[in-house]
Amino acid sequence: MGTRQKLPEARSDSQATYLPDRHMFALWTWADGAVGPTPPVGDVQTVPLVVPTPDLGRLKVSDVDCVLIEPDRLVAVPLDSPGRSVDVWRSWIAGGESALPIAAHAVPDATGVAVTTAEHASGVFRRTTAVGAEMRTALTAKLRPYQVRGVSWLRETIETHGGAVLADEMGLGKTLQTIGCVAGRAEKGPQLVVCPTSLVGNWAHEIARFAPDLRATIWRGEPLPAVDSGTVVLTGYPTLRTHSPALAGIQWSTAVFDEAQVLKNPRTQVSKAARTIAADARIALTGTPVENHLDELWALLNLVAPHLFGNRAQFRRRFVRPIADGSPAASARLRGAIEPVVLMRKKSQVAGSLPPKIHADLICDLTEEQERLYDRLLEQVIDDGFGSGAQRQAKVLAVLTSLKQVCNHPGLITDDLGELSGRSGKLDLCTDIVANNLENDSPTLVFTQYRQTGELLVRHFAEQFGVSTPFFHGGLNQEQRADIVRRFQSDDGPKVLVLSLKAGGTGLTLTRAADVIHFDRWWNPAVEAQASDRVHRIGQTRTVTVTTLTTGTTVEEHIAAMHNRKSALSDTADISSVAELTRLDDDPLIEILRRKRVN
Amino acid sequence: MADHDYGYTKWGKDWVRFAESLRQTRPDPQLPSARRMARDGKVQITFDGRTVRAVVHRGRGTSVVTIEVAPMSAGATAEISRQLSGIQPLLTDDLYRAIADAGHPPAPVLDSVDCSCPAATPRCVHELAVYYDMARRIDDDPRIALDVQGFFLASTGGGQAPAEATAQRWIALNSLDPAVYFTVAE
Repeated sequence: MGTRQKLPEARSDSQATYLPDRHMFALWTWADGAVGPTPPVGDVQTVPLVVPTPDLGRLKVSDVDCVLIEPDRLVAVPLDSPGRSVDVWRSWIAGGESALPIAAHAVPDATGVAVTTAEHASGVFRRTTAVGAEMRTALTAKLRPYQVRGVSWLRETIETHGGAVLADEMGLGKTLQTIGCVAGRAEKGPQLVVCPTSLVGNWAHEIARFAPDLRATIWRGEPLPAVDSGTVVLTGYPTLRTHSPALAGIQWSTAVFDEAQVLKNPRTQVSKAARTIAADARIALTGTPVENHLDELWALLNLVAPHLFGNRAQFRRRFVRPIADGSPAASARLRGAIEPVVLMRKKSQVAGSLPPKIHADLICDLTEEQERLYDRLLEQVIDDGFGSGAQRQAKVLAVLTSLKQVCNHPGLITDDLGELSGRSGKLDLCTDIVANNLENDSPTLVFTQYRQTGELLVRHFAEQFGVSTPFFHGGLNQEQRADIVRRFQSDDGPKVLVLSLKAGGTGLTLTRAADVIHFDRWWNPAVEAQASDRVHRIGQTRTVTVTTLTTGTTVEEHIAAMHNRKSALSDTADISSVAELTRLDDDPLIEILRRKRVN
Repeated sequence: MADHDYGYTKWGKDWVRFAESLRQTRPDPQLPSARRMARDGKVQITFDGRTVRAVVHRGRGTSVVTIEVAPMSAGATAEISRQLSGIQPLLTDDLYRAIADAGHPPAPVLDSVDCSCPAATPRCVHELAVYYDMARRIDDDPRIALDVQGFFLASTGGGQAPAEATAQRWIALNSLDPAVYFTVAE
């Protein structure tokens, strides 16, 4: 290992290091034996890279200030004296294949003793670029670079290990990446997606939207018709638990387990049922930080790659116990050991290719109780009629309100508010999201239009998580309002804040949160956007995630569809939309309100 | 075998075997205290290629144990490389069995063992403590078992690009030449 006096070409050169997990390049500079200031082409981020020591005798891992850019931008971005690594990557982007210097692939492993090889970096780059081209025709959505890498990573990992855990942070598009992978495997045979019941409708919706060539069918336990290639069967975990014998004998090409932390206990019936599914490839999706729950992590690893993680006792001795004792070396070892089958990216890591605001529009399903109540209310309205004139408008508004409340929670209509969970698909989904954010220490704002719904949420969060949630609504005086805002903005303030859309929608600054949930839909997208801007304003440094919850098949879908049609409405729009409905004849009006049955 | 804390993986077990040889017929009274020394962190190991250097504290005294591990046979190196081709070494017990079944047991061979203590016995307690500490480290990270036999140096061609065509995921940091960090080796 010879050391020369001076490195050639080492004077304040720009360098480009490929980050395989994100399919992005880290740009940095090297000047006179040290890392120099970043090129002025974007926000600075710190990335651990392998760089030479000042005496140039050794290589070591150190945190380097970088600017991350997407491959498309590397060619054109203006850089002072681009080094060899920049030149070489630019030639790769143009289709060449020149040899990479170490600087071009200097990403260390978790334990800091090894570096990504040039073969691996260039292989990932080439395959991911190819997958990106393929996805442009296979999906109707444009994937971001890290999402393209997600798809190519899923493919590589399935090929090598037969299974994969995609553990990206919530909001990065795990569903979309999985659909990309599933679309590429459609020829290989039928595929199965198991998810929480409240998300089945959302999967159907997203598959129809992003990969219309796939045939998605929802299975609720009835005898399963013959499934063939190109079919994706969607089902909930409860159906899997009670009807798993019906799946025996089917060889799936892919089995996807969404929110796979449900399977954390390998002894439960649903976990056993999941294990009996015969699949060539298994994909587990989870948004909870897996490193915090090592037994759960083992269960997921064992589900997707039992040949690598078969021995629970060994896993406990090697990782769980030493990490519980506070050994940082054991945590690094764990990250190294799971790296082949777990891809885990955070919003902050890919912030460069994220917009400042991510929209997640989730479709939730009705429970049976909600369906019955919704239909009964509507029957009654049909019998009573809407009346005419001013009375008609009031009546339409009242009907809309009660139907929307059924979507929020059936107990709001029946006054049976004893046990809350398991009765509203929307409330259950919202609870999952809040639970996830609590895990991640991400404060959350939940907006609703209804005072009663807000109170129900406050009570539910207290029962589920033991957190006390303030409720910001119109009935509070100025002093109480200011107090809630001040407490929420302080570092140890409440983790969740419920706000009424009208009272909390304007003027406040709540930038401690970067996550917003709209529990119900308002007619006017501008009002929702204004509410979301409570967190997305000056002083916000993170990517804001705005989640809307829409109950599928109901009038809420009609409202959501209106949002898409006219995204910029004036302030009076909320009145006029209802007026528009009022002007309709009874039949088309009822048609809008009636549940659209799927399948 | 009262104490299963050491050698719960097959890779670690090889090192326990140095202390607890299967040919041993009488119990060795030094073993419990050797295990205790390893458990209590009295053994500090540093690696230098295939040389294991350990500073062992006992009472007020300090001894230095030096163990030279023989390089892995070419056959075993090739077999393990074949089994691991393309992926990061995930050294499971199954893999160990597969390699052993292929006729290349990966158990290490010791070239020499030396301790600075004046004990007259053929095996001193310091040496035994090092075997246990090695077993403990290898249970935690079986890659050490291969590393100490020179596997990674051999398979990466001693600093040159990997010989095999299969894309290897990682390359050891210390096998890269800092002089060609910014340029490409000719």
